Amino acid sequence: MPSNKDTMKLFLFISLCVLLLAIFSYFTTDLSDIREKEIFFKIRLPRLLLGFIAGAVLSIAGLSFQTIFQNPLASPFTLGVASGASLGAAIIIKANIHFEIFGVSASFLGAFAGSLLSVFFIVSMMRLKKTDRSYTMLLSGIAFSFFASSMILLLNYLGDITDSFKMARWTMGTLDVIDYAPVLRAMPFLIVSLGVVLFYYRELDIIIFGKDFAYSKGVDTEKIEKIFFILISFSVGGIISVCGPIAFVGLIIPHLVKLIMKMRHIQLSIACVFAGGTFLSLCDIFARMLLKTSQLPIGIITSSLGAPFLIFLLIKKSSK
Amino acid sequence: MINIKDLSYLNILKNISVNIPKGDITFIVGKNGSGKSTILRCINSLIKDYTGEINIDGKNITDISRKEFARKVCYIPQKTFINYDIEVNEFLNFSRYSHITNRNLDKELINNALELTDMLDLKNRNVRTLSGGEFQKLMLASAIVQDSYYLILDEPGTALDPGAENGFISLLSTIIKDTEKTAIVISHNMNHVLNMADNIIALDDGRIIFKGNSEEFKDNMLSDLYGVEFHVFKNNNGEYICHPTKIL
Repeated sequence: MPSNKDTMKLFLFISLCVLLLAIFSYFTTDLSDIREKEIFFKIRLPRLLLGFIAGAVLSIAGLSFQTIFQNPLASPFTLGVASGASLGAAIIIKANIHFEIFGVSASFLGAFAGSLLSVFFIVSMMRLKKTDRSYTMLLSGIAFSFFASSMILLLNYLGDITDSFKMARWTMGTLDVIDYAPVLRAMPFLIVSLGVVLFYYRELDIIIFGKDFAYSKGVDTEKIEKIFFILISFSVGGIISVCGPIAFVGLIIPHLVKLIMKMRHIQLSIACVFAGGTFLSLCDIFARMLLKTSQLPIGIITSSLGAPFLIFLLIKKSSK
Repeated sequence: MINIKDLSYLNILKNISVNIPKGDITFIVGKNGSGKSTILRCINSLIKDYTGEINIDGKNITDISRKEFARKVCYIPQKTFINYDIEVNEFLNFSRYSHITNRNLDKELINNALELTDMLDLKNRNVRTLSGGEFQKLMLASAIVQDSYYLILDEPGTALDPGAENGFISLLSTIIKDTEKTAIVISHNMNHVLNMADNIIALDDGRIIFKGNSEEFKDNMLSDLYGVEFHVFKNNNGEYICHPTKIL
């Protein structure tokens, strides 16, 4: 059981995240102005919330994949889900398909179908090869990722400059939304991903010490692996469909949280929600503020802010 | 009883059939690469694509859920690496995973296991800071906490110095007898094998070449199995002392 000291650390950490978000939101908006107020509630707040949800889901996905696959480089992108979603969106853009069903756009459906296709491909590969499931899963994911990337390149090559720009822009990720519909669309994916980690937190705590160890303690590691792969990939696919493949958050945030706090998965997952959510929301605020005339794609900010911070923490930890 | 019927796996195990009786200490011996650890991995379903059948208490292991299996069998592999910071008592709590959570009972069992293994004062220590001997005792404590009938140990105590190894094996022997567990142990230490075993199974090139007790093993198999002549005698306490004399 985690000590009181650990729980205190968690609450302090969460409070700090929320405080940071509140300060940034406050300083970037003048709420006394009616126009500014409308912009804040119709554009900025939905963006902030969507950023928070997306960051949270990607971080939870990274945390659970790093534990399940016992690989520190595992992230939502390792298993080809992001590439599948990008390919789906690229096909829709290239085919020039425009429609909306109940507020859901064609590119969302294409991206979601692409991510589900990658999940279907990897599950089929696991059924074909019954031994070394983890390796099969990782290698099939990487293979699918390369395949999807090459298909996107082909579509780029075949497309005109407008299509290519749209595809390239989509793959940079964006939180450019108006109103709360995309936020509501993204919410179930946070519930699913957080729910599965909280439901199986004990199993994750044991698996971290090795699959053979967990198996001998009674954890059905294969079942857990499958459940996590399907549900987390489904959630990541959903999030990527809404805001594009935002790189680095799913890889870096779980490491940051684990470097700061030594805890079990029940606290780690909650810390990931707040850390990932806050990080992506702050990155979005920076993306809007850095250039006066336009907004930077959020993927550029996440990578350029996250990488040095991770290196700083690693150096600080190794010098202790 | 563990019943193994026509067990084969790749070119490592060849048609192994054996019954391991309940309540006994059974040692599996043989040269390196003879298939000893592979049998244990098959029994624990860590290898699944074998041919043949393994039954535990009359039930095929493929029909037993993982939790039920862990309540029946506890497997301690040759090496376990812990790369994460965790306290001893928290680590031991994982061994209660297969049982219905009862915090008071779990706490009592953990304290009891720590007392039996003489580790009570290490209760709040980080597992990564334990010495080799302390870690072996921790693994034994985790087996006690798991509270399963069958205890399967792959070369226990081998990484320890001779003094610590003897201390650990005598502790293991006492605990197995006191808790009335069925143990299957792989060992290369013939002193431990001859003194502790109720049954001995000898393997060579994936086949069983001997089944019997210590006396029979000493007289008919020991030297042939390893290609080394052994000098075996009993000391004043009636314990076997065994050491190699020359290569045959």
